[in-house]
Order: sequence, then structure tokens, then C-alpha cells
Amino acid sequence: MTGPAPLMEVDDLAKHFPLPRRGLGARGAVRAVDGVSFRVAPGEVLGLVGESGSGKSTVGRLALRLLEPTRGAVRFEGRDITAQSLRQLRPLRRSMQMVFQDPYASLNPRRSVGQAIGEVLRLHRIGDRADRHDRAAALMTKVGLSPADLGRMPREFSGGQRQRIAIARALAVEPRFLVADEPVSALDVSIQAGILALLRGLQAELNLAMLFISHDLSVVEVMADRVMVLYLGRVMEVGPTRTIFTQPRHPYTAGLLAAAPRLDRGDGGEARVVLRDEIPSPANPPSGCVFRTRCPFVLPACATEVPQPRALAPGHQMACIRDDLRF
Amino acid sequence: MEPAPLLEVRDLRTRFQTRRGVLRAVDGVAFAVDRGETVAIVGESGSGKSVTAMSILRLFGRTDRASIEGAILLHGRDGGVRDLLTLPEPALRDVRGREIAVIFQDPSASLNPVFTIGEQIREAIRRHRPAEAARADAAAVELLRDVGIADPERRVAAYPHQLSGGMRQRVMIAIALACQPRLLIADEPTTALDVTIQAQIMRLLADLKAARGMGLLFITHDLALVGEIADRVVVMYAGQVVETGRTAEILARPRHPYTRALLECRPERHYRDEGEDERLLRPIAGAPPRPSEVAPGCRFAPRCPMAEARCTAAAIPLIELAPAGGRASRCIRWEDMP
Repeated sequence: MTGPAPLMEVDDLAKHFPLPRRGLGARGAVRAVDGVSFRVAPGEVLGLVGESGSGKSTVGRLALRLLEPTRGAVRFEGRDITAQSLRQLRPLRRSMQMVFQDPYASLNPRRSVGQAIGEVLRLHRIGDRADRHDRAAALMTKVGLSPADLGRMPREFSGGQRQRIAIARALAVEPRFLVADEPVSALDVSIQAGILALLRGLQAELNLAMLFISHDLSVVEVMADRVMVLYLGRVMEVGPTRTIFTQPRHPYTAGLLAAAPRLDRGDGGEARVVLRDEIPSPANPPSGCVFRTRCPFVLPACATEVPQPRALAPGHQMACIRDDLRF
Repeated sequence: MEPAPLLEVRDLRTRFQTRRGVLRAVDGVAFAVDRGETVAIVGESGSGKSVTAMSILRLFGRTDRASIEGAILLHGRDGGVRDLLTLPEPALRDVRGREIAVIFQDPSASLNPVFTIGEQIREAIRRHRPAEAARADAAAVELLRDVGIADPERRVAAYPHQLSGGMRQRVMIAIALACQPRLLIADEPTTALDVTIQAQIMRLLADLKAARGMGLLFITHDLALVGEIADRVVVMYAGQVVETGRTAEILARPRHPYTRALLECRPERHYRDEGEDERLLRPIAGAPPRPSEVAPGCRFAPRCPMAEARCTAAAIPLIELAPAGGRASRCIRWEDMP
């Protein structure tokens, strides 16, 4: 791939969670992520979509090494973070931060907002006491809150305000890479747009690279530069946002897009393809193409052949053996 | 078919006695559902949409300390009309399930984990259709098939935890249908589900409604879902109805600034061949009022780009915009809307 040197390079990443042993047989495993590779350039937003069980949150956690991978490498600015000790990792943590779905669970209810932000700065040995307070105040302004609120407790804020605080805390250490895992899913729609606009603005201003995870396709469409579609821990399709949303080539991408409710559809939904059944268990994925059991375009060969990702255009890849499908 | 009323809600006021005083969750809500019609109530958290649904069947516990006023008129098959709010509890129990059934967002909370799904469906059949108790086993299997569960003869013996979230919601729908209700109330039935499963459940609800001629009261925060299922929409804000009318008209030409803002706050991206794509992110400024601090006039006024002094001077009534279709808006500037 051409373009700037990647900030993050992920190669053949896998995470298998062992299952409890049953009887004398071999111990099974849930293949949450199974052979995922991608790159994120500095300042680029890569969107991750897929149903529950697709492995998108696991990929986000592996990218920050909040989970140990079963196999594969995660290189951040050229260094393999999966090969480093946790002590070696510590200075790198400053460059990589995360925003979670539930702003209620991610803030300590007994600490003021100022303490929550100050603690992150102190852990990373940034500034002295007075300097840290100034930085926290500046961050509050940056995320659209008042520095006067630093002394208040998390419960005094609404869900949207709490998510702003979580974003301020993540940005306190000036990261270059942010994993945002369903950052607006717990919020009312009228509040979501404000948080998304804030993230988008900060991303551009700070040249922040992001892994943006959401089950809401319209949210990913507006946030991401590129989109990766996951199914049962594998990449089905990856490409520029416009290509994925307007000319998808993988049947799963097309099915996912067709399922999303849209205001402009208004035809009662009769004409579109509804994906049948449900995502199978990652403990027992289908042979060959993992999507074949739900695919309306399945061929006999799909059961035996694991489709390899192939390039359709620069930056656009998909893993389907069929070449004749257009949506 | 001439529209015949099935359920009429008149001037519904639901209050909760809390430690911090009286919480007016629903404040003068009125709407109707005709036979075989789908009506959607749309609103955000705190709008009172779920409390409205719960009030219809008085589904509050004693600890909720709820008081419900107004009238909830259920029109019978024989033309008789009963006010559910004045019905004694035993008579209301017969209405629940037999005439009006409810499904909620979280099916795991409504299913009993220690009984098989077959036992739970048969229980509903025995309670509400005693005449069919003898063939309850077969009826349970048929219901599971009706709600799109594959291999129903085997699945009928499954426990709730052995099923996915989408399957559990199908089971809830099967239990709701067991008594052949005339009205199904679905309170955010797909919010916890993946979009693919949501699409399946939406189609199932639409098909079942058409096949059985039920009325459907669909409660949601998502206007896009409304467009796919509802004949008419009731938009709620801070405990009140702010706009109501036929779905297509409301989505195409909202006549209340809140409805319009709700339509516009969904993210949109417009692709450009040259230069940057246009990314539309239009949040609604501010936050809904706390029920304890509603202003005298329009409750949306503090967040409304069109607000004027007269908007907050006195209470705004629901203004009828057209005699047909029940189009109404609680905005005195509705004619100024683009």
C-alpha cells in the first residue's frame, strides 16, 4: 500500500478464548478474532462494523493490548507492542487511548472530574500540580464543558456530558491513536450528533488516528475515512467509506446495509434483501467461508474454500470467491 | 374498510410520587389506535413514551407510587366501550394478554429462566384461551413456527438462556400472540438487537399484524423505524404530544421544530467528487427539561431555533392543522416552518 507510513499495522491478529473442558475431548475455543490484518495511517479514521459476535470490540482491545493476542502482531510506529513487556509498554500507552460505550461505568463515582483527569496526567508524569489543573481546565473547554465544573462529581452530569469528560480524559495525554468503542450508543440521538461532531473536530485538529467501532452504520459512515466489515472474527470487506456504502461487493456488507433502517427508504422494506438467520457461534464457525450459511449467493465451493482477501481497486479488498455480484 | 377505533387515550396524566416531589411523566397525552392500524409513539428518554404504554395497562407496581388520570377507552368487538382506568384489577387482568398484549425491549427480563419456552407459551394459552388448553402443546409449536423459529418441535423444549436475543424476542412475540390480542403494544422491541435481527423482527411484526388484523402501538426512539412500520405517528417531548399525523406527511414535512430537529440530528454524509465530503452532524442544542422544571409555555422553546417571546408566555395547545388525518402540532409558529 502506498501513502504515508502507517501509525498502526496489524498482521494476522487472532484471539481465541478457551472454552471450559467438557469430558475427555480436546478443549474447544471461541475464535473471537481469526486472522485480521489492517493498517491505520496517522490522522486516519478506520471504522469497524459487524454484528455482535463479529469481533469488533475484541479487535479494538487487542490493538491497545488490553487483551493478549493468541497470534499475530500489532505494530505501533514500527514497534511490535505484543512483544513488549508491560513496563516497556507504559510510555506507549500515552500515545494510545480508548473511549468506551458507557460513560457511567468508565468514571469513578467518588472522584471529581478534575481528579479523574488529573490522575491520568499524574500517572504519565505530565506537569506539576498547578500545570495539571491548567491542562484539565483547558481540556474541559475543548470538549465543550466549563472549567468551573472540574470540582463536580460524575453523577452531576448527563450522559452526553459524561462522555465529553471521558473524551477529555482520553485526550489529556495527547494520544496519536484512539479506539472509540460504541462511543455514542448509550446516548439519545439528539445528543449523539454533538459528541460525534466533537470527536470529528478533535480528530482533525489533533491529527488523531482512530479505530471507530459502532453497530450503527450511519454513525460509522459519517465518521470514518475507511471501513472494515467483520463477520465471525474475519474481515469480509475493507475499503474507502464511499465505496463500502455506495458500491459494496461482499454479500455480507450488502446485507448489513440493507438491514439498516433509513428515513429515505419509505417502501415498507418489501424490496430489500433481509439476511436470514443469525450469526453462528464463534465456537463452531462454518467451514470454508464463515458467512456462507447466511449468504443468499452461496455456491457449493464456499463450503470448502476459505476465501482470501483480494484487491478490487486500490484500498478496496474483499473476501468472497464470487466475482459477479453487484449491489 | 371504515376506520373503527380500537383504543382511545384521552388526556392521560401519569404522575409519580418521589422523594423530591411529584414527577409529571405524562402530562395530558391523547391519541387513538384504529383496528388493524399501526401507530408509533416516538420520543427520547424522558419523553414519557414508555410511561404512556405502561399506563394503558396500569403496569406499575405499588412502589412506583404512580397515579394515572384521564381515560383509556377500549372498544369491544360488540361495540361496547370500557375505560381501562376505572376497570377493577381482576377485569383488567383479563384485558392484559387476552385483548392487549405487550412486548418489551429486553426479552430476558420478561421470560422466566427456569421454565422452557414451551411451558411459558402453554401457560399463556391455558390462562387466556382455556378452551384450547387440551391442544396447547400443538398450539405452542404452531406459534413458534408463526414467529419464524426454525425447528419449533425441538426448540419448544429449550430454556431462554439457550436462545439468542433475537430468538428470545420471537418467543416473547409468540407468548403475546398466544391469546390472539386485538392490540399489541411493542415498547422498543428491537433496540437491544443487531440491525440484521431488527430488520427480521420488524418484518415479522408487520406480517403478523397484517395476517391477524391486530392494532399495533409501536414505541421507539428511532424515526427511521417509524417510517417502515407506522401508519400514524405521535411525537412526544417532555411528557406531551408535540406533533401527530400520518407518517409520510410527518417525515416529509414536519410541522413542529422538535420533530424536524429529531429528523435532522441523524448523521448524514454527502459524497463529493471533488473536495471534502459534507458530513452533517446537527445535534439539538441543550437538553430536555427535568420534569420538575418545565416552563409555563412551550417545553421545547429553550432548545428551539424558532422560539419567540410568545412561545413561553402561556401554555401552547395542540393545534389541529387539517381536519383529515388528525394532523396536529403544539407549535404556534407551525405555519412559518420551511
